[in-house]
Amino acid sequence: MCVLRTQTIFGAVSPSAFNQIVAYHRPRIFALAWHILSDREEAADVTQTVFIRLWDRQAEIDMDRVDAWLLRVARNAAIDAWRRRRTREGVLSTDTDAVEQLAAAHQESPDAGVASSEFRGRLRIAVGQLPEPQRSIVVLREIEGYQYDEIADTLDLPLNTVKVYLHRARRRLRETLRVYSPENA
Amino acid sequence: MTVLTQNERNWWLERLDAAIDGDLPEAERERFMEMAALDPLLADEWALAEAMRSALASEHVPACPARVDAAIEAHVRASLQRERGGRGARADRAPKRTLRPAALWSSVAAVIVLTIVAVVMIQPAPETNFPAGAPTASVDRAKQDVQWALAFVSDVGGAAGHSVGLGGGENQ
Repeated sequence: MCVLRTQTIFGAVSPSAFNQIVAYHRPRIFALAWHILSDREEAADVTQTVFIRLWDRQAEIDMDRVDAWLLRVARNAAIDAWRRRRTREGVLSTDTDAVEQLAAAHQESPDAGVASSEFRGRLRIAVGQLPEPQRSIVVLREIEGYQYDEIADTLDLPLNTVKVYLHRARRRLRETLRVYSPENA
Repeated sequence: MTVLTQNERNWWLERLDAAIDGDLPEAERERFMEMAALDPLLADEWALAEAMRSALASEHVPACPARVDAAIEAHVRASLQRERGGRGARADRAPKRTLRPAALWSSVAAVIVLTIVAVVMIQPAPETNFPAGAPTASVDRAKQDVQWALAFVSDVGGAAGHSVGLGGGENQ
């Protein structure tokens, strides 16, 4: 959805229209960055960077497709931040400390009793270890609830490629998590 | 007890995603669930896929820090101020290329009046039977027309901040 269709003149976005864009898209952009990074402050930095870039480059952006642009830039910025952190701290291990660290970062929602804390922790680790673009596709589809065509548009991939990547990602997650399924946990 | 061959199970596992997404036709989904009830390995895969989907869909997201909005707003304000400052400086440097509408209209009216006056003065006086120096009716009418035109232009020019006259007192 584009909230700006009638509020742009010759590619220029008024400050009030820009505020509407920020208010509408910020939660999803922040959530995407959060699910990739699992760090509130880093996700906030990514969100801020994305919207500042939108303002600075508004003349170059097709405002009818601003949703896809925002998601693409947010995803790339989050992945860059994640790579920088990984370079800084070393590859994230899958030991118990890492699980506890991630579990602490993600506060459990009150109605999230369907899976054990350990299963959730392992799942987050497994999602974080997926190669790109599988990880982004899992986040966008399974967590953010985007449709396949929206993901294809965002990641600039053919629709069938998105489905194939998601199929592989799910299979890989199941293989990783089989011993940690809720029944076994 | 496993009732499916590996090939059969793989065939159904290929449809696991569609079943999870709700994209399987109803009849095929019912068949899938029947197979899952019969085959423990397929049932395990189904249960695991459901647990993953449920866990991911209910992931909690913290609130975005307020500093994000503040930083974005500060950037936009600074950007607008820079833009306004640059535009003002450009306007000061740029030469004035446009006329105000009132000045334009008074100039056009002055040109018209001067043209009328020139035409009237250049035209040779018609030969008459009146004695020299005696004003004819047509000359009087022409002079009156010019006076009216000058008065009108002067009125328009006065409204626009200008006045127009012949500067020499042509109606002495």
